Amino acid sequence: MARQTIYTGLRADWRELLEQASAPTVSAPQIRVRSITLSIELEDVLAEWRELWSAPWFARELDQLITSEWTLKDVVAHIGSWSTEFRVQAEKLAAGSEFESLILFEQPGGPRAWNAEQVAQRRMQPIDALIGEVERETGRLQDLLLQLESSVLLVERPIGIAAATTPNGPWIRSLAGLIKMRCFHDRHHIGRIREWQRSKFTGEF
Amino acid sequence: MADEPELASEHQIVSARMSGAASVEASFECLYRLYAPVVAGWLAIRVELPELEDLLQDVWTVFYQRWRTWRQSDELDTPAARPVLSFLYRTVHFATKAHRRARQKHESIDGVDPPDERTCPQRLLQNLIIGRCLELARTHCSAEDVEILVGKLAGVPAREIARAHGISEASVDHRYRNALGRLRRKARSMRSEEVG
Repeated sequence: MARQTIYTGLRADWRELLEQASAPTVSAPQIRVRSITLSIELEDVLAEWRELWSAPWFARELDQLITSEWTLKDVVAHIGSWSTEFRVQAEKLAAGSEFESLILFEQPGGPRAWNAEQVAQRRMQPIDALIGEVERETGRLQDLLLQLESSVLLVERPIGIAAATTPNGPWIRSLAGLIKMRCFHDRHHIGRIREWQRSKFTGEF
Repeated sequence: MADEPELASEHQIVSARMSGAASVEASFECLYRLYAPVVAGWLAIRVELPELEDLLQDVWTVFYQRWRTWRQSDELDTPAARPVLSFLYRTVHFATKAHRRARQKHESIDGVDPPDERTCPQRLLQNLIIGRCLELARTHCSAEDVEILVGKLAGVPAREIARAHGISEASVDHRYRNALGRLRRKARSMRSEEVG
């Protein structure tokens, strides 16, 4: 009975709180960029990774080839390498520093040589260390963002990436753009892993 | 308020958007009208009023960006699933987490952006008074337990609360029951003191 009372009380309080916050007419919000909105995007991506890492099938499938060249564990290593790289590039971008070297993107295939080298460097590491790199570097990137004023987030400068066909012309991005790139890249791989997992477990693989 | 049309359910709004019967903007407005009080309520439990305004805008901005490219999986295409509510709950949780993280670093999180009055109207935020039972929960439960509690009160599925907090679904249920038990005992002892 007492349990019912506190539950009823909480529900009544909750309803009262909602009634105080009436919903007026609204139109679509202006798209604004703040450290917190970028941090939310990173947290959301991290939550999707955590969901995959904690799935019962994940540990069993680490050695399975899920692309023509990479195992599931290699893909996590790849994400780890880019988590570190995006954080380093974001720090330099925020500080206005010059990039000493550029990662060259081929069309198609992206930075194949750099990707292969980075994954090879991490191949002997246990999965926990690779996951730890993604977690740690994402946290460091969020910490960096949360220290910056909003006005800095949209300032565009050359970053440490260029097309292989124009190696002297680095891409121009803002910090916000860099975070969008990171989230897009992560979601691309999350989507491919989910697709692979669905196909395999529904017998369509 | 009496002349306002009755709001559609989340499932009806999302279905209209997915089928092309409603535009991104029109469907966003419907969802905003449906869930703005809930999002404000969740934030009111977590942060102080001045911070609430900024975070409210952040949450709706993030949702609007996602809504423009929203995809609805078949498994969530049921009236009971309410994926938008779950997304908003998760985003409120992440916004609060980022806000606390920034405060721990003693850095200002105030941006240069002026408040967007379309998503942050004054009347939405005036006089948000938290009732006695919710206040009791804020005083006697951990911040995360309160967040779980208000997620449940708003009808967010335990699976989605678990996903947002990075814990198991069983943990969500366990912590929810524990929080209720703790509050029940506290309320009972307070009543005894009042009677005594």
